[in-house]
Order: sequence, then C-alpha cells, then structure tokens
Amino acid sequence: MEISEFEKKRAANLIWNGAENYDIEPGFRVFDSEGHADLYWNSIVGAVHKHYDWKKLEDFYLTFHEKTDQTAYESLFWIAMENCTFEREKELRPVFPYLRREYAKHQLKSLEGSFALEDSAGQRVLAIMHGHFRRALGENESLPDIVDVKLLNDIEVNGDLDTDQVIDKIADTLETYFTYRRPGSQKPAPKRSVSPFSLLFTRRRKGHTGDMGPIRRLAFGYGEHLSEYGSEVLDQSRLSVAFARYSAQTDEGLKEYITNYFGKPLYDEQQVRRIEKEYCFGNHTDVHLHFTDGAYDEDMLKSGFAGKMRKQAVEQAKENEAAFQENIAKYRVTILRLTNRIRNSMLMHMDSQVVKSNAGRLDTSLIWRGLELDDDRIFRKVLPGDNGNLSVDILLDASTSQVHRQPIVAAQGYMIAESLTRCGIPVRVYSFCSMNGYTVVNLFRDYQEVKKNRNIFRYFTTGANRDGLAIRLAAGMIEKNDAEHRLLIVLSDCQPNDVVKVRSSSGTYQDYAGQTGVEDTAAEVHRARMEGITVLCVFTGDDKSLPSVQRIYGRHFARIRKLDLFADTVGSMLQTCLRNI
Amino acid sequence: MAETEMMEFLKKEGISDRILSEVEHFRSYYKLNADMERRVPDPMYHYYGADVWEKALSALLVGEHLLLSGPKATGKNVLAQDLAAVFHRPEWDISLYINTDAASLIGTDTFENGAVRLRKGPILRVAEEGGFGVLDEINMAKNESLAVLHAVLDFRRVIDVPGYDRIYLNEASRFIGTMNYGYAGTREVNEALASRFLIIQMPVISEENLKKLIRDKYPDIREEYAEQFSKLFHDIRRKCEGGEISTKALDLRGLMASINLIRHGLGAVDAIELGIVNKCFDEYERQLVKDMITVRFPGDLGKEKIFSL
Repeated sequence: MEISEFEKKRAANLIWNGAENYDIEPGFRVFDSEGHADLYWNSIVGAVHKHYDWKKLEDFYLTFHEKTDQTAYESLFWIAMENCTFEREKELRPVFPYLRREYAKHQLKSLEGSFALEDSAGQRVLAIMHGHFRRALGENESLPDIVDVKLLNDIEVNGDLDTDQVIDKIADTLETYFTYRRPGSQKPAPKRSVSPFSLLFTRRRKGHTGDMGPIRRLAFGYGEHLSEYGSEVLDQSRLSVAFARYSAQTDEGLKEYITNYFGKPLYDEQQVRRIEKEYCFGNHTDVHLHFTDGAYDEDMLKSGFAGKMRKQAVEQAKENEAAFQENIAKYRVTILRLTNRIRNSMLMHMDSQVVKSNAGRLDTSLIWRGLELDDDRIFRKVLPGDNGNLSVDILLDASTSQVHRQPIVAAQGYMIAESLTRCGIPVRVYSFCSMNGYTVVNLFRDYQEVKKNRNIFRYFTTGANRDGLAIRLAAGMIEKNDAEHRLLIVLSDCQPNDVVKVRSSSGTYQDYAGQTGVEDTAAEVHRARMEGITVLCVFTGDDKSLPSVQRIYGRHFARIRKLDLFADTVGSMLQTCLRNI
Repeated sequence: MAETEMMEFLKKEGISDRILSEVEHFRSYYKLNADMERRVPDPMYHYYGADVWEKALSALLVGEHLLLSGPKATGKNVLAQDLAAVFHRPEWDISLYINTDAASLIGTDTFENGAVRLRKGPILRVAEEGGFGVLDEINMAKNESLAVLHAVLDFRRVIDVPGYDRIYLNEASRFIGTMNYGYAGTREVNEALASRFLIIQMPVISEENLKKLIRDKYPDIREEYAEQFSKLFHDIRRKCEGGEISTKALDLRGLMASINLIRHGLGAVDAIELGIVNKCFDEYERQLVKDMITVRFPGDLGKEKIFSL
C-alpha cells in the first residue's frame, strides 16, 4: 500500500486540528486500507494530545516496542484511548457520535472475513474491536468468549480517569490478559517470556515487524509511527569522510583540488582573500570561497579524482543540453508563454500613461474644446507606472540532494533566463555547493551576458550546501547593482548542511546542519530583506522540511511538487513582484 | 437611532462610564450639518472587544488619529465604521491602492459650466465637514503619495491646495487607517506616516466574542451550534497560523453567509462549502479545510437542529 505525502499531511492536519495545537509532532497517524488519512481516528489521536499528557502516554506506549504481541498491544492501547477520549470529546464536538457511528458501520462491514489473515493475538484483538464498535452502534458486542467480554469491558477506559490512571488501567488489563509486563512490574512474568528461547523469539518477531517499516497494520487500520525512528536523522557520515580527507591535505593542495574539480577561479588570490574577509565571519568563519565560471583546460581533466569529476561535469552539461534539445519544441512554447506573461505584467504595471480626462492637470491647448464643443475632457491625467528597473538573481542549490534533477533544473533555469532576457530584464544565474570546507559559487550568466544563457546547462551537483553563506554572498553581490527593485530567487530544499562547523562564542563547535543551519539561513535571508532585496524561495523539499522553509523564508516561498513547474512558478513570482512595485 | 443603539451596546460591553460620557459630550459639542446625516454610517455589525473599544475611543477623544493593524478577519473595518457611528460623524471610505496619488486624495481640477473648478477629494471633504476618513489598506499605497497626508495628520492639521486655498482641519475630523501587515501586495508603512497615528494591534476575535457576534446576528441560533461555528472558525485560524493553509478560508463574512444559508434551508455542510471551503481554489487546501468541517459538523445536519424556529 502506498501512502502519498498528501495523505500523510492530511492526517497530520487532522491531528493538529483535533489537538488544537500546531506545535506537536504528530508521531502516530492512521490510514485506512486504501491509504487515505482516517478522519475519525486522526481526530481522536489529536484529541488525545489535548486531553492527556502525551509525553507520559508515549513513554508507556514505547514499552510495547519489540514485545511479542506488539501490534496487539498497540491496537488495544488505541482502542482504550479512543474510548476515553471519545467520552471527553463528545461534549465539545457534537459531531463525534456521528463520526463514530459512521466509522463503526463502515469498519464492521469491511472487516468481515479478514480474521483468517491474523495470528491468534491479532484475531482476538480484531474480535475485541468488533465488539467495541458494535457497542458504539448500540448493539450487543456478540463476543462468544466470556473472557473477551471482560477484556473489552476493561479496555473501554472511562473518560473520568487522568493520564496516570489511564496508563495504570491499560497496563493492568494487558498484564491480566496477555504476557505484557510493565518495566519494573512486580508481577511474575509468565513462563513463556522468561524462557531462554523467548529472546530469540522476540528477535525474530522484531525482524518481522521491522519488515513492515514504520507503517504497521493495526486492528483498526494502518498506523504510521514516526517517533521511535526519530523525527530528524541527519546523516553526516558521508560528510565526515570528506572532512577527513580535507584535513589531511595541505591548503595549497586543496585549492588545486577544488579548482580542478569545479573550474578556474574568476578572481585572483588577493581578491578572493578580500572577499573571504568580507563575508566569511560569524557562523561562516573558517570557510573558504571559490568563484568560478567553469572554465577548464585539458591538463585539469587529467588530474586524478578531481579531474575525473570535472570531466563528469562536462559530460553532465552535454547531457543536460541533449535532454533540452530532445524536448525543444515544448520548451520553446514555455519560453514564449513565460516571456509574454512577464512582458504583460511589465506593460501593465511599469509604464506611466498620459490620458485625456475630465479632471487633472489643465491642458491649455484643449480649452477651446471645452468652450466650443462642450467637451470637458480638457485635462491630462497621468496614470502612474513605475519606471524603477528590476534585476533578478537566481541562485540554484547544486548539492548532491538535487542529483537526479540536473537536466530538469538546467532546462528550467535556461527557460527563465531566456524569457527574462527577451523582456530585457537583467538576470544573473549561479549555483552553490560546498565541499571540503570550500563554498563554491558557479556563475553561469551575469546580468549583461545576454548571449550566455546556454551556460546554465553546465549545472551539475555535488557536495553539501551552506545556504546561509550562499545567501549572504548573493545579497552582497546584488547590493553592488543599482537597480531599484532587486529580486533574489533561491531554488532550495531548505536542508542546510556542511562540514565546517559553527564556532560559538563559548568556543564549542556545532554542526552546520539541522536547526543551526536553518536559523543561520533565516538570519541571512532577513538581513538581505533589510537591505531591500526581495528574497523568494522555490521550495523543492518534502513535507519534513516545511517547518524549515517557513522559518527561513516566512511566507515568501512557493512549493513545487515537480521541478517541471520551476519556470512557471518563477513566472508567477515575477508577476506578483512586478505588480507590487 | 443608530447611535443610541450603539451607546446601549457599549454600555452592555462594559465600557467605562467616564469614556461614554465624554463621547456624549463630543457629540453634543460638535453639531452636524443636516445634509451630512446620510453619511453617518448605520453599522451592520458590532465590534466585540471592550479592551479595543476603550483604547480606540480614548485615542479619538483626545484628538489623535488611529491606525488599526491586524490580520484578516479581525474586524478592522467594522470597528472603523462603528466608531464613526458612535461619534455620529459622516464617514468617507477611502480605499487606497497602488496608484493612489495626491490628486485623488485631495482633489483635482475639473471643468464645470465652462469654468475650471476644484473637484474635492475625500480628504478635503473630511477636513471641511469634520468627518471620519477611513483610509482602507493604507499600506497598499505608495509612501510618496501618502506624503500629502503628513501635514493633515500631524499638529499642523492643514491642507494646502496649490492654487486653491489653505484649509484647516475641522476639529471633529479624525482619520482611521486600516492595514494588514504582510498581506500580499502590501508594503512597509514608513515611519513618518506611522508616527502620526496611534496604532492598535487588532486582536483576533475571541471564541466567546465570535459566539456573541453570531448570536447577535442570528438570535434564533441554538447556543451549542453558535459555539460550534465559532470553534470551526478558530480551527481554521489555527491552521493558518500553523502555516498549513493560506488565509483564504479564514473568512468571517463567508462564515456568516453560510449560517444565513443554513437558516434558509440549505444543509450545513453544503452551506459551509459554499461560504468557506470553496474559497480555497487549491485542491490541496480545500481537502484540508473540508476535513476540518467533517470533524465538526455531521453530514446530515440541517436547519432544524441548528435553529430554534
């Protein structure tokens, strides 16, 4: 079963809505057998957060982990929580009885005949759940086994209990009817689980559940658990290998390596040192910079690994261009459409018009018309436009995370640049990535280089991304142009990550990743905005990074699900931008 | 009379007697030209929130101008209109937009009966008649075009119209600006302009006050459903603040219209779909908003349950 990102998002939204709190981490979400977010259950999960102390419940819930009947315990836990939360919530949300009835009807119908698929504990839980929802419909639970009826009575936890009491109640029930033992429980565990084989048994079972990944089949649907896998795992191992190699090399050797890898530097050593002094401070102390336009000579291609990579980049450029040529008809149409869109907005919003009107500044040469012809349109009115010019900078993330999208990003970038060129708007396109302590800026096309749009096909990806520094550099470069309205569009997945750590005032070092990276980038974006630069983001990441993109760019980002939409999105951004100036 | 009704309402809301008596005094002191009566607004809605009321009334009483800043659906325009009604002053609605220029605010030359005359703009009219000028979406206009307001709004209280006259602001004239900071198409309000206003950050309407507003507008709605509607609105607001959806669905007017539709017989879920859900044109957002409705209102809910007719 495939669960789409959207349904996951939907489930999370239902939970936040139920909890009336958007700060919580929706660690457990419920989906139906078709992979749709379950309206009722996710609302219940949210309401659990509202009425109970989730921290305590979660600790308790995690004690099921790797137990023999883990999924059975989990199912029963949620049935119990459903019952007590429903009791509390039904007063606040009169719709709940209705939703529960609808859910029960649907569930009882669809679950008929699914017993055979389950193991014994699973069958039992399923029967219990059937009984539970029959009761919800006001029917008899119709459980053949009197013990099961008792179990059902016990698991239907009352809404009057507080969190601790609920946990005690569920734990007692599980201990009575199953082999579950709470950590530190005084009750002697049944023989089966202390036998030397039980460990093996548990291991095997664990492997079994592990196969199912974070999405597990529970009695009432499919539950996705996120918390036990951690909400954010940052893999820095790849980077630390690179870092080891980096520290083993001399500065000179490294510079040569970077040059061979990315292309000849644009500035001489002194200039670079000055720029580094100007930009690499604060969180970016110790970072080196390399500006290049990708120029290389044959010798460079022969220089070991870096040369090989250079060759690969050259190949990639050919591949990007070939991919573009393949669909050139389609892309041409897009360019034309984009050009027209931008041109229209420019005409609409940037030109002042002088019109004849019946009010405004008197045009003396027309007065006779007023007197003789009774035409009162003898005034000139200026419909003001804005003649302030506009510059656009497009900054592309060229870290490894974009590796599968190189031809698309290149093609889309080319189309944007081409359209803007045709409209006469100066545009500069560059990419950034970080490697071995260097942040590399790859300049494809500068404002005045109208003939160099094809350079964008040189886009290739490698290494990490130090977004904060890249934006600081971009803002610095933009400030040097004198356009009245300056726009910076960043294509990014908003996961800053780099090997050069951030030195704090207390002398300790922190990874440039996760929240540190996000906060740093957000600060740089803010600083650029204070300088009067409009910073917008075209966001390509997944749901997980949404909080980061919001933190960094506020509301000023557009999310694209497919990179095919990059050019169009930039078009709309430009339109909005032109409208506002 | 609208203003006596407004005074009753304010008393009920718990506004201090001292402020109310000063308002009475203001009204009896500044007489109104008879032909201006029709410009005094007769508000459809009441603004709920005693705290904001007291601040706004006090500020206007001492002769200051007001800038109401706040997100969508916080009742900026409702309050502005209510204030004009309470003080019983004629009101001019001045919607500002990107191309607003000085001429459209102060006045332009026009041609009448064979002669060039000044066609007075709304600002000039406010100044002459002692009216209340509501500068709607003040941060939509360019700062340069608002510069003409500087002399009007500060201690000089004067408009100098080249080739016409120097006009002093009537003592009863007040300006009330509204703005939605960070809304699409808005710009920063510059300090020179902001310093000429007292600024009220409009709070989001509380659940309790929204319930009051709904019951005020539809007195026959059942208490528990007024509450559900109010809660739905806050569900949506929280989702907007959480950054999950845009503010399109956060539409108080749409909510009130939906309730009205239900009252006329449309099913609750359908009515809310018309009034709120369909405001989101993005399929993705629409689903999220729809989910919120589904977990708040049963599919078969109708007029009979919601209203006690």
